[in-house]
Amino acid sequence: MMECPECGAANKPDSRFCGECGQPLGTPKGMTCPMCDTSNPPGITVCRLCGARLIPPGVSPSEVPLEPLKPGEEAATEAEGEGVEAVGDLAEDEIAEGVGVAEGPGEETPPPWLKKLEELAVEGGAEPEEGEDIERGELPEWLEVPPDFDEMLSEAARAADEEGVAPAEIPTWLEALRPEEEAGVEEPAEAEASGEVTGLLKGISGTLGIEPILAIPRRAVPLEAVSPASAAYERAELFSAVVREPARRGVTLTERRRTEKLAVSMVRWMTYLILAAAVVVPILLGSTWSERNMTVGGSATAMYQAIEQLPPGAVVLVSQDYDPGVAGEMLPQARAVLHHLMERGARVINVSLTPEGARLSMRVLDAVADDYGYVEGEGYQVLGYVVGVEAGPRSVVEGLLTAGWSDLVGDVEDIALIVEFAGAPEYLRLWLEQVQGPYGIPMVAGVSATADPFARPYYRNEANRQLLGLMTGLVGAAEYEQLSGESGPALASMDSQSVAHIVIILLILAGNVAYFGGRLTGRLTR
Amino acid sequence: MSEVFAVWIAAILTLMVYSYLLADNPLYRLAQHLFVGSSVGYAVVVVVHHVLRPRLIGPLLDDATANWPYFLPLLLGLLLLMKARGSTAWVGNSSVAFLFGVGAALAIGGALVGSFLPQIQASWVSVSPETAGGAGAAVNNILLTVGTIGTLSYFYFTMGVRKGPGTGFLRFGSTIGRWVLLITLGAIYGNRVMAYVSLLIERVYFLLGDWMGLVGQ
Amino acid sequence: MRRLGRAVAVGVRRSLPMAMAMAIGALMLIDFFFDERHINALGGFFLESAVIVVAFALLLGLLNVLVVHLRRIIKREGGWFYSIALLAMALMVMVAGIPGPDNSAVVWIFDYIQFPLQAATFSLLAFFVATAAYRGLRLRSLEAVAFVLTAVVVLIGQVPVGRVLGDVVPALKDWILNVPSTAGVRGIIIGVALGTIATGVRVLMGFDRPYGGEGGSTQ
Repeated sequence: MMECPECGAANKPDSRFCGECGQPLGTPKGMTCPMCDTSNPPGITVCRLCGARLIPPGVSPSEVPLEPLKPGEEAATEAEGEGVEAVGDLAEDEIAEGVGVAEGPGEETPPPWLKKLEELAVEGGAEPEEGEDIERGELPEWLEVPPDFDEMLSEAARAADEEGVAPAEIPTWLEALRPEEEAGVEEPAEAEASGEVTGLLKGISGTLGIEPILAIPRRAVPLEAVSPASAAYERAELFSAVVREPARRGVTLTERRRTEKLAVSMVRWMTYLILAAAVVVPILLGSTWSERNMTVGGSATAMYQAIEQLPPGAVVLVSQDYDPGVAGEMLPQARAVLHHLMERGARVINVSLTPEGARLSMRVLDAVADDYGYVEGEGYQVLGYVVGVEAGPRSVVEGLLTAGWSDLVGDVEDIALIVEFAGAPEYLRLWLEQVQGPYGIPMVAGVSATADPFARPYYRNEANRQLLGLMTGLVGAAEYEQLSGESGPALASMDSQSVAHIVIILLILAGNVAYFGGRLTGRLTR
Repeated sequence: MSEVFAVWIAAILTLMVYSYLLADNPLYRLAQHLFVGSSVGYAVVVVVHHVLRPRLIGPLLDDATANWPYFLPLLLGLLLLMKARGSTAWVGNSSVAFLFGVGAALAIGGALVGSFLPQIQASWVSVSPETAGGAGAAVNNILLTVGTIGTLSYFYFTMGVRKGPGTGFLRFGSTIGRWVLLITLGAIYGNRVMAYVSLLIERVYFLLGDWMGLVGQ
Repeated sequence: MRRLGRAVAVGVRRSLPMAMAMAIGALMLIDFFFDERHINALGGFFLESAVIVVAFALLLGLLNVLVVHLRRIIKREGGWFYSIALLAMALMVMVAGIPGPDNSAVVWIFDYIQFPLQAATFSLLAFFVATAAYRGLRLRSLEAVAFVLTAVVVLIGQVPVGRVLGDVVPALKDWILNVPSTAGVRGIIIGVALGTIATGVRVLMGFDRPYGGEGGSTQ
């Protein structure tokens, strides 16, 4: 138990913030400063040497100690040279990642940020100190797990647990992510142990780490400094996160434990089956209910209108910034919009902020171009991949305007519209901040559903019209197909989507019924 | 015929990944390693051919004397590669500094002009029914502004504001912000579920359609 | 004498990067906001250079992943067998990509190996979401109810089926996404933007030296 210095309330030992008054509690154990690498004694909040903050500026004082991995889609993904600093202004969410791009320590060891990569690539046995100690080059604990990957972590935790590995072998960060165990009858006061303990989502555990999104550093500082490819980094990290389980041991289980584990597994597999059925059955039945009853929302309509109003021959800059991971949503979007663009006779200049996007762009362009007699080099131009950092989109526009990359564009006014396909919010933000804002070029965007909430404020900007239209996810693609009168893969998927949504809602209900029912029965049998 | 072969490869790999649902297993790990390997290799190819070749090597090979300024990024780039070994890492510091200099400037400019100012402007919305386009819209505008301010005060407050005069206001604001954020998180969560389901649908279409041929395309 | 020389060298070694960052950053800032021919030209050049140097950084990181796995194979560390697969795959792609990424072999590998693998991996998340929905979203507090209720409305409202119960649900979803959710994210955006500006200014003014040098990391 830790006592809060401000209000005296008792807090869990690993707390960063007092659950009562919100004051920082200081680090419970000694911590190495991410900026200057001095070790600090426990219980202080700023480094005694350089003054850097040792705890995050409290965007979400979630107590879940999380693996110091790279944030994924929502945030900067490169190993950062920037540590946390004590910036004393309003609302800093600028928790930059704390890998000091140090001058070499003078030994033969690789620099910290490289070591970090190395560590990520290590699979197998869990180092017990993970997440507890800050070694040189590691990120501080409170840098949170990418929202995308914590599911995999909790699954790994569950898998590890079910295989009978003793809890002690599971790193604390993994433990903490594990969703609540099935509420056994014999569990009296359900510990708020699992899931969020403080912060907004206190007591909710199945949130898949939503809160960290808030705490995750947005590109606070230019991240391109000595950063591994965000793509490759993500990969290494994703796979190592999954792979990073404690080694299996031949632990003998008791009978009872085994049946318990089996029961939990059965529930898990049942859930998988239910979801799979929800998706598969409508497809197999070939049902078209949703297609016939599709309605279209305002933001998709606005996007359609923006393109519909383009004069023939208008030059449109298309940026396809996604990877195969979200291609399920984005390819139908790109397909629908490019059909429309080519039907309007627009001339397309295509770039991509992701390496995979370069190839995926070609897929879509090749497929659609034939229908309209478009030839590469005339109707559309492919500029390829540019680096996915601030300099990237800006250099594209500079290249077009000043270096004559395209005959179609000589002046800013020549670009009639920017159509951005963002698999992650950061790409959308790059285009908005580096091109739309400074140059004032009209812009619309299709985004992955995960990015929609982060795109809305730009769309709903009546004063400034940053985004003239917004298309969200596979549903957005279906809406666009509906508007175009062209049935396509998105509309066909809507039945599966609908049923799956309903199934998930039912799962939430069922889970609650099981939980509360179990507790009720437990109380009654006492 | 090679098309069929290719589809089978893709299907097998997909199923290898899905085997994780049963339990972590060697097939899955193999699949992940293949994935990382392929994606690293592909990224290298694209970076070299889409960025370095046309924008650096090309100009230098074409006309090294006329394009002499390109030696600067070449030099900075090569120096940066020295960061691979700890002992020579310091050599790359200038390159890193260069990147930080450019990047910081762009980030500042972009954040200011692309996010901060426009979003603040958006909050100065009209509250009169006429200009807002209806009473409902006016109310929503007020809610938007209040919610935004509440959110900001929530962050400010939880950063450790010392007790003192005026914190009551801040506390109230941050309570509003707290609930606004809860709803925001719920919306984020709902959207994420939607996204993941869509991704699953794509793979299922592939397995059922392209691979098993049960569904027409 | 030699010590003096060494001190100067160290001093230069440390402050040169910082001076560079500050100078170039200042120039880029001016270029961002103002229209002056010479500064714009220089800024454009630095921009182009930055893209190139970033590309080197990306290469460095990518190749490092390969080196890590190579080392693991050599040392026969845990899982080195898988590392062979990883390296083999990467080398195959890189060799096939010597003529360029549009080479049919590279395209084939991307379309039929990388794409299915990545798409399948991320689609796994749907399953985890399902189990998390069943096991985790316990309505034990008012906050939880607000959270879950919002998610449920969004989920129903986004799909055509949501209209079955009348226009209420989609309208509510629209309101949720356009008002409270937007307000919350707008607050986040403003906060983050402020932080970005603050951090950027600190870097450009030399208060933070993440690239090494005095005041930065050790040595």
